[in-house]
Amino acid sequence: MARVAKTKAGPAKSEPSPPKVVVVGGGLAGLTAALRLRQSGFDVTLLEATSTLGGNLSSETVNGLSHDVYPHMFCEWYSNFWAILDNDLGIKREEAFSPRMGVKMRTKGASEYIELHNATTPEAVWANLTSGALSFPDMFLLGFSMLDLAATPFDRRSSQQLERLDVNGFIYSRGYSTNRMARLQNYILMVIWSIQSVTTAAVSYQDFIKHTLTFPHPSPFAWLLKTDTETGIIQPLARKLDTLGCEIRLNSEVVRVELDGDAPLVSLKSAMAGTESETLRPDFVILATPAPVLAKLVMSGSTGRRIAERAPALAKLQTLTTVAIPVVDVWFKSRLPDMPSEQVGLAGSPADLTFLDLSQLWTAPEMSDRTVLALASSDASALPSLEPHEQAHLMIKGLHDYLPVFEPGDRWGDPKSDIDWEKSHFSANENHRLFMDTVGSWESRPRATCEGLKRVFFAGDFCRTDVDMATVEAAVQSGLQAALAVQGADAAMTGATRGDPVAILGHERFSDTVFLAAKFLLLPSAYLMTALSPLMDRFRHSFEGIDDGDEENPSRNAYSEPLYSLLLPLALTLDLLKTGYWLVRRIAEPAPEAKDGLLTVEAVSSTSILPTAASAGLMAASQALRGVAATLPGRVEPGASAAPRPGAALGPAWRRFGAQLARTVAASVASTGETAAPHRHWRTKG
Amino acid sequence: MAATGILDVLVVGGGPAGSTLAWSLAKRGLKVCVLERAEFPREKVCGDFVEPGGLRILEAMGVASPWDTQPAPAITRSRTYFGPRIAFQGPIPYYPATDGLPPHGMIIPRHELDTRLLENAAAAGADVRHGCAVTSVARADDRMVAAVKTDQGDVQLGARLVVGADGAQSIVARSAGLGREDRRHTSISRRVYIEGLDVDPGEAVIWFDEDITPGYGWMFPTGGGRANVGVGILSEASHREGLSVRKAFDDSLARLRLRHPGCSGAKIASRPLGGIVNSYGGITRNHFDGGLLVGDAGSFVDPMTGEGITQGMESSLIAAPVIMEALEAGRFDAEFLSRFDRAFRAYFDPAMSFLTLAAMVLRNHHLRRFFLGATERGFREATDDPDFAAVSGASFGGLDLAPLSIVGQITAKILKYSLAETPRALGYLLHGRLGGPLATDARAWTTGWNASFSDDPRWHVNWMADILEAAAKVQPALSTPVNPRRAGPPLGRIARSQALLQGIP
Repeated sequence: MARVAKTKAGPAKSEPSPPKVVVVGGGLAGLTAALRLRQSGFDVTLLEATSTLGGNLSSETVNGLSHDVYPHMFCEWYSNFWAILDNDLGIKREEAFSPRMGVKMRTKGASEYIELHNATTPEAVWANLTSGALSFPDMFLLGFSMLDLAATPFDRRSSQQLERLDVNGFIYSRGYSTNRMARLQNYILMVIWSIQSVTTAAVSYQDFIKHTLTFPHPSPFAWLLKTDTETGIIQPLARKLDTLGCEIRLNSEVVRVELDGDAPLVSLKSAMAGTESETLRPDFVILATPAPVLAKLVMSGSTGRRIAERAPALAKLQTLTTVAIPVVDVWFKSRLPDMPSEQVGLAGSPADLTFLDLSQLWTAPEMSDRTVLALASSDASALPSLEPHEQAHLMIKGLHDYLPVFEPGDRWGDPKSDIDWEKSHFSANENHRLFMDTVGSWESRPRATCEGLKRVFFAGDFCRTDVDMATVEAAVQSGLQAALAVQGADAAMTGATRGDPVAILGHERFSDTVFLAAKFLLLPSAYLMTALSPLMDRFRHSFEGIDDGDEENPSRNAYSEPLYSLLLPLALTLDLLKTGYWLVRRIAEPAPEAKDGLLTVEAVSSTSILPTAASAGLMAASQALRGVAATLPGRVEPGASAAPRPGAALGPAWRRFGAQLARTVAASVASTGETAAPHRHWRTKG
Repeated sequence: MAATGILDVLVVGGGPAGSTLAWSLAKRGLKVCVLERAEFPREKVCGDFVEPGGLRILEAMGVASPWDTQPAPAITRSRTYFGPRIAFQGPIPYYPATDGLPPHGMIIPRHELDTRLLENAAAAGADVRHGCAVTSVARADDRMVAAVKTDQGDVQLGARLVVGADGAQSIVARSAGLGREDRRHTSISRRVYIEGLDVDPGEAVIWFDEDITPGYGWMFPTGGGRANVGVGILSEASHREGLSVRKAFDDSLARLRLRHPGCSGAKIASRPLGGIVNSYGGITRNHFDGGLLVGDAGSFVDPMTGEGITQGMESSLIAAPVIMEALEAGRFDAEFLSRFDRAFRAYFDPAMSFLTLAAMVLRNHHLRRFFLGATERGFREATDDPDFAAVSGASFGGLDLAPLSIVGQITAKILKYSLAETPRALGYLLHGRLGGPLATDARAWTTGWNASFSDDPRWHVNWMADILEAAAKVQPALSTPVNPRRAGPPLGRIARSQALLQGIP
């Protein structure tokens, strides 16, 4: 209590002792904020309600074995996450992580996996189109719809009612949509974020796509940690904080955060009933709890002292939704044959099952002689049971439907099965719910700073950052933003910035103009594919005898009607005009990058690079034409004859022109492969 | 004539660009010498048209009244012929009285204008020498040496910097390896003074005919029943298609007498003279080790109108600060002087890159019917639509060019026209034939295109490549919201404040 007494006296301005910051929540966002503030010289106390740090990035140890809460994927573009690992913790990505170029899918009854690649190279795009997940036209349309979404010029002000649009609604509004591509898009969202495309905010998903599309700069789809997250990330981070002198208090649940004037009062749950609860009076507090907990905290306390009273908008935190994904770590007694090393989605499984083979990833010796799968259900509501082990066994049976190479047994613990039940572990993950980027959630999400609150700041993957979809990077970035906000608030009071300003790295990504230009160029192909899609179906139905069932019958889908195809030229014309309009506008006045006045700490901006790209393209085309011209016959004596000769020479000349053009284009396409790397400068450094 | 002490800047050529630069540098206290080949006053082939932007600079330099006799009337109106038809007649719609600009142009004969400007430079302290023809310029150690031919014999003159302001066939440019021989960016003109006219002295007349396409003819009144009459045509078209400028000039003059009632009694008042201009699109660079190029020598000519008096003076006023910096830094290498490139491109590219693209497209002589038809329609639209006239009209000599708005306006006009004409075209179609204006346009296009290709496939494809290249460079025109020429070069701003002080609009 000595420390509390001291802080209760209040730090006098002349005193050299640094301002005290309490970080509530020991997840990745809280840990990041604590790290940066401690490094800047603040006195930091981190409060974690449970006995383990890491939140959704934590692991649980049962019977001496580590079980990750979730199998996480770490994308190449998580610049702030990788910077902390590399610069602060000394963890090398290439050593501690293993790259995966894509993910796999398996359909029921199939003997092969379908591979989907990160579409960052022409080869990967081609492989995706011909992967067989959907017919070529439908795959093309799926990819194109993502590009289209990236190119859509959303304003992003929360007052824009028309932009409260979901991903599925976006696809429906397109002139080229097909039912199949919409279903695969929904599936992708389900397996990665456990969120239906009808509830995912299109603006949020757009943001993710923009970060991911790094074409033509090849990069892995994701990196996977070669050990459990506790050992690999959280422990090093906690040790680092310890070395720096940050106080970390586990099992310290905060029940109330109130305001005394501007000063925050943080009340902890008393250890024993009847005793007075401990109250901290820090200079600043960062609330880095999950969204539902935060919604309660801002409404907690007595009248006149509640945070939500100062900032009424925070009451809307109650509308933010989360979801739990049950995960079973399935330990088999032996190695299963032909298991892929990528994340695998079981397409069409009712509970949207995915699995990752940990035994091919982790370096743990106890996994050396057996297969260990992290099996997750992205749609737990499809499991007809509430009893944990029944749920787990239903998931395992679901896996067996697709992968009938093992004996699942009749129930959890059935000794007849091929599963080592002692080592296997199930968690419904109710305590580790994931934030969902639902339609309209953006306007309810808090910024790091909130008007009316001078000493209270927010962090967590649900906070507004330039990374919109809930990801590890969003958590890290929100932590950095909160740390920067505290630093700024302190500087405003003392007149000097404590420590180096917290650095937030930008993300390299294409500007709107590039997406618009790409869309503009590909639009005709997209509409052609829409016309082809039903034809391909007919072909499959009549000639190959494939019947996908009645619901796949193309005549039932208004968008696939061959008759509808007659309207496609009109739809294409309209789409071209609209895209052209936005393209010209974006060239003339590069997009306003700020989202809803997002924080001044938001260091990310992207300038228009289309002019360079378009100019380079036009120049290349001009050069190609000159190459063609050099091979064509010209007038020998200029000025000799003004009258055009009759069109006799016209046919052959145009044919020569066409052939030469084709040769030139082929040559330049062949040479792009070699010069792919320099194309990087087309992208901006945010 | 021996060099006593080293000169700061040697300006070769005493036309508007040279004398403006000399004036500007002498005002700043530099030791400047201007070498002019001729003895002033001398004749110069030109349309003599000084735009409002040029008048603003004259005003600022204190050369507000450059006439020997009485001042010429202000040009505020224009009349445009397409063949025998008048497509536009009325006030010039893009001469707003903003930014210290007078709302009119003026026709100032060059023998008068150039003489006054050079006198003005001398008055400011520049050493002006007539009858000195520079034959070559070379770099020696850290200075530039010019070989000069005078009446008294050949001399050499040394200076730290040399500026080539010696016109389209610049000796300085040729010495520096920057001579312009690209017929795609060169125009040939021929002009004469006529008298005995009974015309509106404030109305400039221009005309478009097939034998001067790409190009145009002009009749600019200088007052007192006199006028400057001439034609200009793209050198490439003249060369390739065998279009004789001399013949086109004679024919144009004959036609003018027939078409324009006030010109029926026109009499030739001077000897017809021919000349050339280099337009902006042909610039490779205008700086070299030890010097710069300004005015026509630096190809600062509007590719659509062929006007270069104002642009030449502007280029000099942009060069002056760069020269000051170079002298202060003691750096005369091409790398340092490339600042001039950045400066004039920032100033001119927003307009010139667009005009160059337009000129590139219009370059195809085979498509002349199509282009003339489209242009004529544009001029007719301008009669009915003041907004269109003010914005899109500016592409023919306007200072405040807004390319993005022009593209928007023209696109809208084309769409409107196509929609309006579609029913008529459909009507013809129902009767089993192609007809109506849309069909005429389409036929003009396909005929011209095919003729162009079959006549010279190599040229045709190169032409397409030229258009793409010009389009690749048009970005500054689309992304610069306010055209820098509107505010004027550095001195343009001084001019405005002076004008305000004196209460002159």
